[in-house]
Amino acid sequence: MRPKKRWQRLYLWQRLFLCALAFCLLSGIVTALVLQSASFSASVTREEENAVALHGLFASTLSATVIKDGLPEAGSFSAVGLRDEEGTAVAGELPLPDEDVQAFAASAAASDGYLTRLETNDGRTLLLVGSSLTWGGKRYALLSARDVTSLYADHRSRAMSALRAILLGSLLIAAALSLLCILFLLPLSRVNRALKRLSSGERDLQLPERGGQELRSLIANVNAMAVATEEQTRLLQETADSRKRFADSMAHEMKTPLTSILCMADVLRIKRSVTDAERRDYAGVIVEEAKRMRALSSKLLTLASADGTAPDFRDCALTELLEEVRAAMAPILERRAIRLTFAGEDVTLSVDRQLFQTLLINLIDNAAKASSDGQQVLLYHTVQDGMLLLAVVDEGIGMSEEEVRRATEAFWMADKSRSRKEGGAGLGLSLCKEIVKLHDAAMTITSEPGKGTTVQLTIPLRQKAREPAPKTEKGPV
Amino acid sequence: MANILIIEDDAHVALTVQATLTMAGYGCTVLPDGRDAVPHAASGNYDLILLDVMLPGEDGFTLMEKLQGCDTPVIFLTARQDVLDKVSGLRLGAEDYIVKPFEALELLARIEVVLRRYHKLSGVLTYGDLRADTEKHEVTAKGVPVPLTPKEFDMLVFLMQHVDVAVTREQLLQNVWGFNFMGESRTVDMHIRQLRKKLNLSDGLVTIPKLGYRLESQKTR
Repeated sequence: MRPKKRWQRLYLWQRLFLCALAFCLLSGIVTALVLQSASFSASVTREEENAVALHGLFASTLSATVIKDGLPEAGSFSAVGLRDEEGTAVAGELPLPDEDVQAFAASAAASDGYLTRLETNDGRTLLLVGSSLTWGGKRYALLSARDVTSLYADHRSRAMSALRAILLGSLLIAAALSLLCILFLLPLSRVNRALKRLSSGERDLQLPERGGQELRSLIANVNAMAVATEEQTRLLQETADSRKRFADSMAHEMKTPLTSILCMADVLRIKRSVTDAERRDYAGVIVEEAKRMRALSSKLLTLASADGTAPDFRDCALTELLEEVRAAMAPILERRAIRLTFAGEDVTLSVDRQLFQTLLINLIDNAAKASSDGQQVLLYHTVQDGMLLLAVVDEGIGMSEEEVRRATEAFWMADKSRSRKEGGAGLGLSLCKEIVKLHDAAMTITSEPGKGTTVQLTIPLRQKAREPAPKTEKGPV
Repeated sequence: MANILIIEDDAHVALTVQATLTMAGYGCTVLPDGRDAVPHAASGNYDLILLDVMLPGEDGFTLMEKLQGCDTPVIFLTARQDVLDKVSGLRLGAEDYIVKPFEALELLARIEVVLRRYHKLSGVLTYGDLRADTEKHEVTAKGVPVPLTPKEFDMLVFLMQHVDVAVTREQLLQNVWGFNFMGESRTVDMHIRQLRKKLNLSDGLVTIPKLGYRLESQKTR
């Protein structure tokens, strides 16, 4: 497995270099071998034909006297020799070992045509040509030798230079290819660096789309990923921020009543003598603050359950629902002498009865808190395009634009000391917002300081059939 | 005793602080917001201001800047626990910073530290015929000096500052030995025994079961 691993560690350009080198070398060498051997065998054949022709010419000039007078000058041959039927030398010397020549001479004497043979001796290559001669009933073999050493040397040197050229060419091609590869993949290293920066937490990362088609689409995808990552991070941050704000506000809201409870209880515990009046006052503070915490925790629970459980939509008659709300609100309204007026025709709508009543009670309660004693709170409703338009209008102190904007923030109160006195925890409208969301409804608040506030709801009469919401178990907020 | 101005919008918290301070014998006035704070503070009737940070209208930090000229020490009361708040509170010139919720005795102890720093508390505490001079570190009974160890002296002073208030052993450990002291409450008991013996306090310094000790004032005895 080791070589494979080493191969995988290589860069693409290195791999390309090695592959190109191997491929060029292989193909070059094969081509050169084929071409060279073809041309070489052609020249060898030519040389043989040449030698045979010369041999024939030489043989025709010979006569029987040769045996007695010796062979004429070799002429265009390096050597000529005459042998008898057994291959024994009769005349002339050949620069070859005798045993090599003997068998050839014997077969040449026996044949009627020309025989050729290549023999190498002492670094020289000789082309032997043999033919038969008949003088006086005896057959002889005439042998001639031509030196063809240069032919082989040429062949070898041509092969070497071809090999050198192939090696050089292959190296050049491979280098050029890998250079091109590096050049083409240059944007890739830019992408790589960008991804590294992205993973180290850099934001607002956008790469210019340059390079080949594949690289451009890769860069486009990286850019898209950077945007998506940033968006995700931002959303997570926002959620975390709002959770933290909620937790901070809740801690603050818990601490104020806790201060009174803890400190007052401590006073009652450590003070030596407590008068009846003091005990009543001090214990009264503790009880009221404890009640405030109870109200806060039940609001939080409602908020958590509105957030987490599936609503139970049923058809309800609106007027019936409103009368129940009036009954629930009656004690508070009577104490403050606030008139609650309903206006509008009866209509049946599909809502979660419990949550919808909580919504209306909260809105009317807010309106009552903002109103002075003896003022009026009006709730009117009308149907339009399958939607119920419902508005709660008061003539109270109203809110500024900034206050309207912050009104649905958890724990936010327009007038802290005032709403605390009324037992408010600052969670009412947060809860309303959740309930409105569950009903696919919309809530808009318009207000003017000194003139009063209008909260308008737009609720679909029929709830869309939807998948039963997944039962998510939510722990306490 | 010292006079303290409380600026706190939550009526119950204000009443609680008032009850605590009255128990310790301080005089106090409550303002529900910062509007009248500056003239009150400038009147020179107050030795210390307890200032809530979250006030309707102007918040405590803004108000603090205006109160700077009055030369009255200020302690912030707040439910916000951020370190940033603490820093900005103290940089504005506040003497201390008490985080809600707090216990009565903690509030009193922090107030005493600030008042002592400003020499608003007399250095001499008396209890019956006992006199403890915190500056000279000297205790006399009927005019006769009584030798006390430093810890015994600190303990006596703490008890004399909280006459008629039940003090737990833990509070004594914290205030006399310091917050990081890992001592046992038995150490406190031994010192109490010494104090009773040396100063003849077996009647005045009573043990409150399951709580601690209390130095009871003479008149109701």
